[in-house]
Amino acid sequence: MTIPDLLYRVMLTIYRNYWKFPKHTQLNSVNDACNKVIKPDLLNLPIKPENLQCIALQKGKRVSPNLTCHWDPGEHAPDSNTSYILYAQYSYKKLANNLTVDLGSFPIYMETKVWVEVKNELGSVNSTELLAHAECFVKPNPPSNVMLIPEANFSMSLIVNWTHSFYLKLKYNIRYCQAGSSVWNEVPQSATESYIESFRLQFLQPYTDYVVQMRCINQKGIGYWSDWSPNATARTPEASEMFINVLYVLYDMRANDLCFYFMSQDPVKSNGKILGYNITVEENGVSAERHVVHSKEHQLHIKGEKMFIRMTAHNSAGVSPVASLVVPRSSQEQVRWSVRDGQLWVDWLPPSGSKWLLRVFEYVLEWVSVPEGKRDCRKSWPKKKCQLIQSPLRGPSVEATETQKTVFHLKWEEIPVTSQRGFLTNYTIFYKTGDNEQCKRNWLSPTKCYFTACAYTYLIKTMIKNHFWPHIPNPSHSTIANWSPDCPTRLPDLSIMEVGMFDGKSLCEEDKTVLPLKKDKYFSEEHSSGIGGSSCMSSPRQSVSDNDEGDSCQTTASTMQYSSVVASGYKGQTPSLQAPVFARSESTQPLLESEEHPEHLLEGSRHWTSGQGIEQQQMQEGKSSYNSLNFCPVAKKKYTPTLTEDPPGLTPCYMPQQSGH
Amino acid sequence: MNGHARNMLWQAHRTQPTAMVLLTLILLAMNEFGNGTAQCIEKSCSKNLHKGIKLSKFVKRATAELIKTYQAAQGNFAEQFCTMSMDSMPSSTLWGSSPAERLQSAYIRLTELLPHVTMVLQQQSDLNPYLGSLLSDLARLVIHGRHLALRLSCILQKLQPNVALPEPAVGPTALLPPQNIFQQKVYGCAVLTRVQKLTLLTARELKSLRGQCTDKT
Repeated sequence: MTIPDLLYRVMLTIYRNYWKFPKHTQLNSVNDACNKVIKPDLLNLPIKPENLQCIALQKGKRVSPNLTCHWDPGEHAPDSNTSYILYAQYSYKKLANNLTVDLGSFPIYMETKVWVEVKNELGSVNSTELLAHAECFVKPNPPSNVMLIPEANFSMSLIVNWTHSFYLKLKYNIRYCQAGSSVWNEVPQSATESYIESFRLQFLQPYTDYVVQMRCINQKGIGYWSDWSPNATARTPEASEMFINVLYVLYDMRANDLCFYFMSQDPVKSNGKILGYNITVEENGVSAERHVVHSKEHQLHIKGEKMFIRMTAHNSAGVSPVASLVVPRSSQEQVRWSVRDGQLWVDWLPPSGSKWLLRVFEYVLEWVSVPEGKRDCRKSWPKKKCQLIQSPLRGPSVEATETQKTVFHLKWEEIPVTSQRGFLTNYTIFYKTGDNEQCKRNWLSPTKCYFTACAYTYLIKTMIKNHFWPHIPNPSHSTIANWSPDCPTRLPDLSIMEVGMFDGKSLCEEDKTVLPLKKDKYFSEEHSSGIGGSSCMSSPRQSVSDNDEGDSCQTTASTMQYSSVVASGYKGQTPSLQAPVFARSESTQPLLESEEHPEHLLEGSRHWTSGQGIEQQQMQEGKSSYNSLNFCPVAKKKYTPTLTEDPPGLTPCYMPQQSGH
Repeated sequence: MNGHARNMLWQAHRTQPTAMVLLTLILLAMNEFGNGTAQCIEKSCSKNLHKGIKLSKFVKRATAELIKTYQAAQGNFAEQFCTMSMDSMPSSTLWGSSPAERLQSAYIRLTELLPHVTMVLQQQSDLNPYLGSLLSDLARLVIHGRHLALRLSCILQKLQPNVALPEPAVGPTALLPPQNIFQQKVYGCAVLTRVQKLTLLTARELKSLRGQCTDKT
């Protein structure tokens, strides 16, 4: 046989075995094979199964004889003519079946060889043989009758019980979690490797529901883990160590007593179902009262300065430790507040005294929204300051009332509490004449004030002025009165009392006589500012119009008097039987007393003389000295009570004499 | 089967396919084993020894449970059945001066007893085809017993490669005399008791051979 013949035969064999040929094909040469061959369907050759894996499930107390295997069939799906045969041999005998091999009786402790043959019309191929001891294919059932058992007096422990249900020795795996939680805690497998039927879970939470699951595997660790068992649930017993965490203390500002209000924790964290609370209150060192409460909330009214509240809870397991609360009443020394940078700061001191020397855990600062009635609080430890409040949102709307020539009243309403954003300390009033701000005054939380623009300062200036030169009435303050003989009205003697921040007591008695005008009617200490002071710089004008109220000013010799004109005949009129009294205008301009009442003038001069000073001498010398005084024109525009407009008379209305002073 | 009483009452209603399938498998297993075509897949002496110990203990436990099941299925006076002895079956004693010889005797005893277990299966199936778990347990015992026998033969081949294993006797149950029902009940418990004892002795012998294997695999 030549080599080409041998090659031909080999090729022919190959072709016949793997390639399709029409029936009864006569192949005489290689060329015939090449020409007559039907193109082989190489893509449909069976693909060797890979990754063969088998499993046998537990059935009853034994292993099921059914051995189920699966494998990777390859990249492309087989056609309909492809079949798979699973072989399992634990001796040499082939036991043919399909995907599941019934071994009759599971060959425990016997070596088992498994492979898959894939066959179609083009050929067959076997998978890699899977050789293992039969128990390597075993998957047991989950442990049966798993129970979770609580024990009395063991609040942090539960016992897990289960039953062996397999003829193979197994080891177990336990996991547990709190009911409702998705986080499992797993018991180390080393703790459950032996062939046991119970295990104790420890370091659990008292009075808590737990869920446990178990699984098992061959004690040698070979084969498959079982599925997790169904949930077993139980609750740990109650513990006597309960936790009372929440204590709310409400200070009822309206009633001015302490309202102690408490609310208990959730039972889950209280280590048991709390059956009741015992509350003992010590007021000012004396045990006052004891309360037994069976509800979760309670309220007590306490009026002591210092209170020591003790509280215990009890459940079926016992009594909790004592929880204590120290409540010192806030006093000016202990709790202080201040405003800084538009915020309210609260400072306090820790409780003092031996009895109160307890370890303070935290402070609770509470405040209330007055209009809304809402209470809020903040815990602060270890800080002793707390800022709560901000600057007010807006100022009040102001209304001027009781407007007078140089005096007006301002009235305003307190802004809403929601706009206050804190506690108002004072009001500041700004006013000006024209474009110049002349004055501002601080007032402590009144809703009105009398505004005289620095009466005290004016008084000082008035004193100086009156000492040196007499007061010249302002003609702008004149009004036309009756000029008729028929009106024998005598102008009453008027005297205007000066009104100011002082009542004249600060002056010596001699000085009091200098007072040309005094009007105690407007003098009111109630309008005094307790905080702040007047920053007025100008001197007010005196008011002379207050006589309309019927007050009679004192017409003592210390006051200036107005003249009364003695009536004489008048052309065209028939003189009355009585000598008419002609009144000049109601002017603030006093007549010279030398014209009318020499004695008065003399007294006035004496008065002036007593006042000392050059001014008085000038008065005695004659009226020429008066004529040298200049009048300050008073603004004739009507005064309107606004803060922006200067009231009349605020500007100095005299000018110092050029001579003689 | 020859010479044993049958429960004629149940014979008309016999529909025990499971038991018959198991019996067929047992017969096939016996034929395979008898043909000597069984092969030892595990080549390691120590591993064979280890698995032999496991299997012998397993069969012992299974037999102990089977005895309880058997007694429960026999009705009244069942406990007395297992206290009676019978001479129509092989004993469970071992012979030989060396562990290998004793192991060989264990192999022979086992192969002699397993047909009797099959007989018990058939008798019980005739007495009560609806016994269910007893019949299947008996069938499994036969299969596992065969497995143990194969394991012992593999071990002996490793320990004594030049010593031919004796062939088991053909049809040992053919010499059994006819038995009434009572005798069958006693016979069945006696067979199971001897199998249990034999597997216990086998496990001990195998444990004593742990140092005998020279391979380390």
